[in-house]
Amino acid sequence: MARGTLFDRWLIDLATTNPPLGREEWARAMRAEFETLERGRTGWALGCLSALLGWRLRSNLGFLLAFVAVALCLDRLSLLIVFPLVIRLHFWLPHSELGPLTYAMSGATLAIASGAFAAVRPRHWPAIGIGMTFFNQVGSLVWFFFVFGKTVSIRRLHIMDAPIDVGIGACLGYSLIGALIGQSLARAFRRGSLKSPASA
Amino acid sequence: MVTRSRRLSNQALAVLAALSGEDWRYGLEIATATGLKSGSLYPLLIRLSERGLLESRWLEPERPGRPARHAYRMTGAGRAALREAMRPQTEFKLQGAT
Repeated sequence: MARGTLFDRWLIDLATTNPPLGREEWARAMRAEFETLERGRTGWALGCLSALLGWRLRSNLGFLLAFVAVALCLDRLSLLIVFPLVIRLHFWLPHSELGPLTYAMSGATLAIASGAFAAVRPRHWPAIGIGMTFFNQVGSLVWFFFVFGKTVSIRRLHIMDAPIDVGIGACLGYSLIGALIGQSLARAFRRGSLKSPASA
Repeated sequence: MVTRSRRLSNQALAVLAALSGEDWRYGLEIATATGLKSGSLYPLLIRLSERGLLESRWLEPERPGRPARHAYRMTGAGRAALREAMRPQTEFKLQGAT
């Protein structure tokens, strides 16, 4: 059997291991041609990888669009939920606790959204957590500049009432924890360990 | 009622032309004949196969120790599509017209 460099092997493994449903035979076909190649293996493997990315993108397009749309709008959506709650609570709680509570509830919506998407795609929970934070911040910034224009410098922006790096870190924490919980719950349900004895 | 016939891309036509013989051909051979990279070739082969313009099968390895290879051949529908594409014609045709 023709030998390839470790890098070529790694590329073709990446491209042909675990292809999307319905593309298994084609992945095997691409790999079989790779095995017969004497030269140009890296280019062939890279092409296979780009084919796989195209298939993955097409088969997950609905999920990706929903994910990006929710993440971009989550900041605005969470205000619709969080503010009415805070307004109700302000009769019961001291004013000094309302600010942190608002941010905690915003973080919770971030975690819940990440958890919901990670429950659908448990294997990708880290990417979901990171992606949720990224698109959420992009959405917030777009909204912020749409409302306030260019009169506010990014350096003066605060996220969750903290400097940008700390605020983004906090958002990332909420998202990753939510995604981890979502994937754990989804896996537990699929294994059946969370089903009631009656339904088992 | 007027319908637009689905035209084959130049790349798809090149693949069909490469398969115009009677023999089964491997992906590498088609790639060499058409100049297409694997990243463009396989999505094209899938599309053509799904449209019934080519058929595929696994062929036993020529040398021991090699894996079986996927080979392709044009179907009757593929020949007709290639002939149709090569002929200068209007893009629109009346549905039901012979």
